[in-house]
Amino acid sequence: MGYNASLDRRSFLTWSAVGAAAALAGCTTQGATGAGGAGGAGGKGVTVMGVADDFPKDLLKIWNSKHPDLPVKIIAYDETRLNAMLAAGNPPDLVRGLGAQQAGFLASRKIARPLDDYIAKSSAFKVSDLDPVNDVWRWDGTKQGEGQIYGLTKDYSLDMMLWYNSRLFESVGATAPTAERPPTYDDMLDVAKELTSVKGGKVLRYGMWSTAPAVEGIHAMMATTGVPLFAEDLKTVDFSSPEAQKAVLWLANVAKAKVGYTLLDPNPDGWDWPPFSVQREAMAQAGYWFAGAVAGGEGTGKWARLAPAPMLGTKRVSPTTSATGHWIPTKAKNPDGAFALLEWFTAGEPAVARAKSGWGIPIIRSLASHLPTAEPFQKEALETQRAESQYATVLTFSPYATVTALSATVAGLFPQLVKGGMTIGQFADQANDKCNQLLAEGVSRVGG
Amino acid sequence: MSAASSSVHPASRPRFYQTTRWRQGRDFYLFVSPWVVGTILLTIFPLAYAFGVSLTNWDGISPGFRWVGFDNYAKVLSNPETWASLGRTGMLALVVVPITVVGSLVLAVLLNNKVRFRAGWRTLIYLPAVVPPVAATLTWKLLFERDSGAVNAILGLFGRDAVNWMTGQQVFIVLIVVMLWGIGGGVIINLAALQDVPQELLEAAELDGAGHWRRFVSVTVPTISPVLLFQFVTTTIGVLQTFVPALLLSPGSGAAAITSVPESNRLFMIDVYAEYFAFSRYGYASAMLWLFFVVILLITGIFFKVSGRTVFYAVDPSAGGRND
Repeated sequence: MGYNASLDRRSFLTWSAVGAAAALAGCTTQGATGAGGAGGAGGKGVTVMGVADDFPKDLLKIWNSKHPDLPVKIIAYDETRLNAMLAAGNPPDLVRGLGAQQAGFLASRKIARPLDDYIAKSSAFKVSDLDPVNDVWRWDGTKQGEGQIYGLTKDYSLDMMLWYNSRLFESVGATAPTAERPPTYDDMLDVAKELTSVKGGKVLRYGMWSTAPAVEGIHAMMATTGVPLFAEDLKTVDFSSPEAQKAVLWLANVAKAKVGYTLLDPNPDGWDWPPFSVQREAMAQAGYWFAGAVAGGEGTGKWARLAPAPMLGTKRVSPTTSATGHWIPTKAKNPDGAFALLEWFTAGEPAVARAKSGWGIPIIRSLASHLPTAEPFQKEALETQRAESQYATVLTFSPYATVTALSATVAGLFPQLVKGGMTIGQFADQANDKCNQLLAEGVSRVGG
Repeated sequence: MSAASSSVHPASRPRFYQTTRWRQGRDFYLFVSPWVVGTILLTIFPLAYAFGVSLTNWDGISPGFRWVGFDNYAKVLSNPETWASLGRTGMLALVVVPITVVGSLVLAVLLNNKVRFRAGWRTLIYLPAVVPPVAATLTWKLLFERDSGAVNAILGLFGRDAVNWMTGQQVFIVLIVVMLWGIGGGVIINLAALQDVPQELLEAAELDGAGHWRRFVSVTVPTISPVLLFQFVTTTIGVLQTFVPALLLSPGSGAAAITSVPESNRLFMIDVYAEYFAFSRYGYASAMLWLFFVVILLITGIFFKVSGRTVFYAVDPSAGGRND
């Protein structure tokens, strides 16, 4: 019996546990997060969590020739993976993000690194070269738009503007929106009813763009009324204001009228371009960046036209709700390398290539001269965009909860509102309770 | 002959590592160690970690979080949405599990007969089970698409209007279809069990005058009952944990997809995912998972308890594996 004492079940399990714990300790910072690569481990390169299309191979060749010591490794953007990497203390060096919606959230949690010192030393651009839209990445501790810069927008659009099919509008005698005379949401609902075509239960064409009760959309609609969705301290929302109810009811009316893809009849493609490009949707809600897609479509440039952002109220504003760009995590292993890449991406060859393609307004103002005007629709779209830019505004979102979380909460209630299971008042009360609970949880974690 | 030369020296005592018993023990533990280490790494540790997280208000990324004790558990239990999603999940299990177990048995019985092209039929029925669930779900999604899907095209041939399958209660039907698509896996297991039914028992029953149905009920089913129990338990656990098909049947992607999962497909695991990655409530979601773990454990325990009188083992399990 004594011979087996060194290998009995108990000791075996004990040593297994010890071995497993040791293995875990080893993999927590590397294997589990999978960030080992270019910059994650030794700072010898830059790991980017983003979209590969942002860094085409031909442009990366230019980068590699200039910075052979800073290879770039791109991992696909994945919120779940990003959370795991941040939690493990081994984040990527550069992360794609929506400045308008995320800057406060990231900065208040000290997850993102301020870039002011880097920008001050940059030889590629100065702060004064940046379009004011980039201020969405500023956060002063309580307010978005002021304070330190936590990211750089790659390019932007005024996201509530519309693209419409001019031929279809003409076919029903609808008045086309002009830069001087923006449409109202109610006007567009009326036009959409005219343009929608259904046969045998199948939709041949929807008149309206894809709508959803997303918080950023409701917030943007309300911006034209002058009443914000968020309280001044960003700690609460108010869906019970007449303006918020008007916005939500409009979305519910679209769903009831069945004139476009909605939460209750989801767009199988997930975004407007596929149905719009084949004329199964007469309108698409997208900013100037859609011009890039239109240019690549077959004949779409002949009928696709850009229109101003619709109005819910009487205050003419045209908000940016995304301002997509990149930020550097506080715990990035190679922040210097990350900024070098970001600097080149923002003001170098990639920025020029993006501007020439028309997929958004460059954040470096001088690059706007590269925006395409070869096709008549491109010229017209740029003129509309320039006229609209005087109404450009940046919306502030709360740092205490993600827009995804707030939108998911509202989306959970919306079907009942559409189906008549609750009144708009009940909807507002429940949306307030649930969203404000989420925000309160954020306040308790972040302080404020 | 001297006493010394004629004496037989006792065999020297073998060292401990030379004994058969030690070698057998070593081999046993070497063979099971990958599983034990894997279980500790991938099951015990995550469970313990999740339990620790469930006692906090952590949001997954914020450095600041605090201990909340069992508050998350109390909140989960008092949240009506918990019970609603558990109800939907239970309903899915009530529909899918019996159809899967009984359906796979019926198909196996049919394929166990000497039918023409038997190998071809077996392949055909098993083939869907090897299609990756993601590919299968996306294929069904296309077939059920309202405006261009094959299902509505067939309905159109009969003069029926197209149905919007991806919304309302209809999407629950699509989910059930997707879940039943892999029934071939169970068919193969049942087929193997059926081929293991002793022929002498069936022949003896036949000699005693038992017909097809009596032999099936009184001989075949009791003999394969451990396999049926296995299928019942594993299918139930699998269905209760359904996540990917329900998520893929919604139009969005990533955490935002959660906003577009129709209510009828908001199963318990979908809600857990939403709490983790849409609402960033890691503590609350971990408490949901732990409670769900306990629920599944209880259900499995009940199955085994109830099965004591209906499942027959060729080898008495109480004999500790000995066939004596």
